Amino acid sequence: MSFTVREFTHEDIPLIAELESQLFPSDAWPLAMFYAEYFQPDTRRYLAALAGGQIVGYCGLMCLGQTADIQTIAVVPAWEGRGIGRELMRLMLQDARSRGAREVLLEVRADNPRAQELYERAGFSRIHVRKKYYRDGVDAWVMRLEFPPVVNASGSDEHGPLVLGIESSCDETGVGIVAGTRLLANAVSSSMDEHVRFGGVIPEIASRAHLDALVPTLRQALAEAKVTLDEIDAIAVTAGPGLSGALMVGVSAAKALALATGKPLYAVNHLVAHVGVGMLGGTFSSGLPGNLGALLVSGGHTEILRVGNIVSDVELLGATIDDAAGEAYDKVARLLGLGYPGGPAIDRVAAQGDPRAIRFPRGLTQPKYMGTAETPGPHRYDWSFSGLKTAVARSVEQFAARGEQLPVADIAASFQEAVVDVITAKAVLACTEHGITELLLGGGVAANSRLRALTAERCAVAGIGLTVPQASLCTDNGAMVAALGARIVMAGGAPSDLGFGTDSSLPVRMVSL
Amino acid sequence: MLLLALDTSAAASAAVVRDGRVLAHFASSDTRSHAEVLAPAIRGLLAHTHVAGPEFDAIVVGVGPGPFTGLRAGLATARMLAFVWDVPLHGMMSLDALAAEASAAPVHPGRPGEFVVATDARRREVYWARYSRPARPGGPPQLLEGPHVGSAQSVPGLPVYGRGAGLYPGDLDAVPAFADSNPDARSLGLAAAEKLLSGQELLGSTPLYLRESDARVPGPRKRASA
Repeated sequence: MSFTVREFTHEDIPLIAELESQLFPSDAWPLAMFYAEYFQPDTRRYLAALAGGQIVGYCGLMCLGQTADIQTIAVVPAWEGRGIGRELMRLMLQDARSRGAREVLLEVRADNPRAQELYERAGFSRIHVRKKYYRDGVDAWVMRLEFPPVVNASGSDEHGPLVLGIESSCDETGVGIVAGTRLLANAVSSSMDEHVRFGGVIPEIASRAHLDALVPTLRQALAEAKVTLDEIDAIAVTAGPGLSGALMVGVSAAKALALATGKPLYAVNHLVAHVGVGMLGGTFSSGLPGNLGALLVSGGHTEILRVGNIVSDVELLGATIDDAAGEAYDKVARLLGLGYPGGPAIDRVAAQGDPRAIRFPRGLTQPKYMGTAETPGPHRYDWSFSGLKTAVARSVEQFAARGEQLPVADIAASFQEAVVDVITAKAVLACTEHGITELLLGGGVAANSRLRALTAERCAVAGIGLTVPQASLCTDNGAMVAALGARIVMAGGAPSDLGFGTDSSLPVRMVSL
Repeated sequence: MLLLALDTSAAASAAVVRDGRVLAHFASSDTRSHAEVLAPAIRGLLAHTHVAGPEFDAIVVGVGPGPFTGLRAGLATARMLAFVWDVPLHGMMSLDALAAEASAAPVHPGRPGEFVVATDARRREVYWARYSRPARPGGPPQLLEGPHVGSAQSVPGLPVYGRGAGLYPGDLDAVPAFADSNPDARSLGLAAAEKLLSGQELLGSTPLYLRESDARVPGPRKRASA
């Protein structure tokens, strides 16, 4: 008897949960989990195999960014050996590929050679063993399948132009390659370790590192994407904002690359590129929504943007008037003896502390700065972190003066709460007052657990959809520059003249030069 | 031998040199726009000489000493061109270019056989090196010491060629015809070609910064309140 495959229906779910408890007695997913998965069609796909009106197999795929996971796959024992598992696998891989995945991962029991063989035949290989992963103490094999990039003779694929992006605005040398909205390579070389003893990024050290890292990082990106320079359609480079001397290395190299290859060069805005990265990885792969906002938080930036159209209509709604949030983290981490970079150090220590222990100030929140929605004050959506840093320093001194032990965890947690509270409150306010219903969180500090959690919480309350790209795309990288470049190419934007200069304070409305 | 020569150790310059002849040349007088002007200038030279990049036998770049940001514009450009065109990249000490011009210039009788080349290192200092005149006419000058960075007072009392001398006429014995001169890609390219033809090794493309970054490891924390 033959079988057919279709997507899960709502009615299938109780039946499948029942099957699951029979097939996986020790590790069955609860019913609620199947529902939770079913209600996320943007990133999930669940298929059922039917024969004789009965469900005889099922499977599920999750696809986030370039990585897809086989969530589950099962065939009723009486129906094994008839190609049902193979067909379900084929359909999931096809779906993963069409969603832009570059790799597919799965876990399989170490004591299930039959399943392992199915996966190996499908092209998976074992990359890792998770000890005692299953409830009964059996190890899991992690297996991976990598898709080769789909590139046709003209160098671009169905996803759009093949664009190489170069980033050097701070301490990260990045070279990324995209095909339209599909990420092919994201090579980054960081000079962070060389800045540690100074407690912050030293522009000259960063610039020297860029010079030495650029060609090797380019080579790495080309190898990762499995493309040649001949196949590239266009080059994009960060022209600003950023550290002037650092920008100049990337720009000089990009101009030479454009000159030597004869490819068009697009000089783009670093901050807008942080937004452009949202188009990679499937979330906004068919284009950004029109009512989009972007909250960018890093060692160099704290900004809230309104993005009407990423190539032609970007507006700065608010920004820090002194230190960037990441800078405040670095300085406070130094005060507390937590080392550099401060963001991850404080985040880690804060987890053990009480965020309400000390009430640190929230800068620029007084009515004279805020005003009202109708008559906004001068800094309604702006931030200031230098006063907060001073308040932390005072607090540290007071503990020292009283001869008390410094409650490092409480101070870290209270500081972090003050930063994250004021960032998210003002960002959400700016969104609601500008009709923004989708928010993208980017920049290195987007990796901060408290910032992510509170942004998610407040966005949910305000009815704002939140997108946080994967961490490697939130920090500075060349892929984001390439993604914005690709969008400009697709919108018919003109290449930049080779004579353009860098601009350390390039305004966001200048998306490209 | 067909060479592309670049130098951005002071002003920005580029030249296409073939068999001891300069086919095309670009030089800016501005010392702060290298990242803007260099690539369009090279594009212009290629168009003018009808040379395709991969035809070059080598690229030669001035590795300084020079102000950091401008110097890197030339090095980043040279390294990328060499990578894409797959041609060898060589470095030359930038002051050598000026020394070659100095030793080709007429010398007043009674001048000693040694001289100094000096360029602007900003911060009231000069980059300098000491050379002896060529043993045979038309030969290359010999580098005796340097490059160094220091005040004009630290330079030996010899005739000094280059803009570094022009800036400090009270301290240095400036040769007037060279008081505004910067290292230039033409002389750099010609000097490099001679060295390559005579089988000498050139430098790599590692920049001669001569100064560390100004960064200081932070001291003890300042008190926020008195």
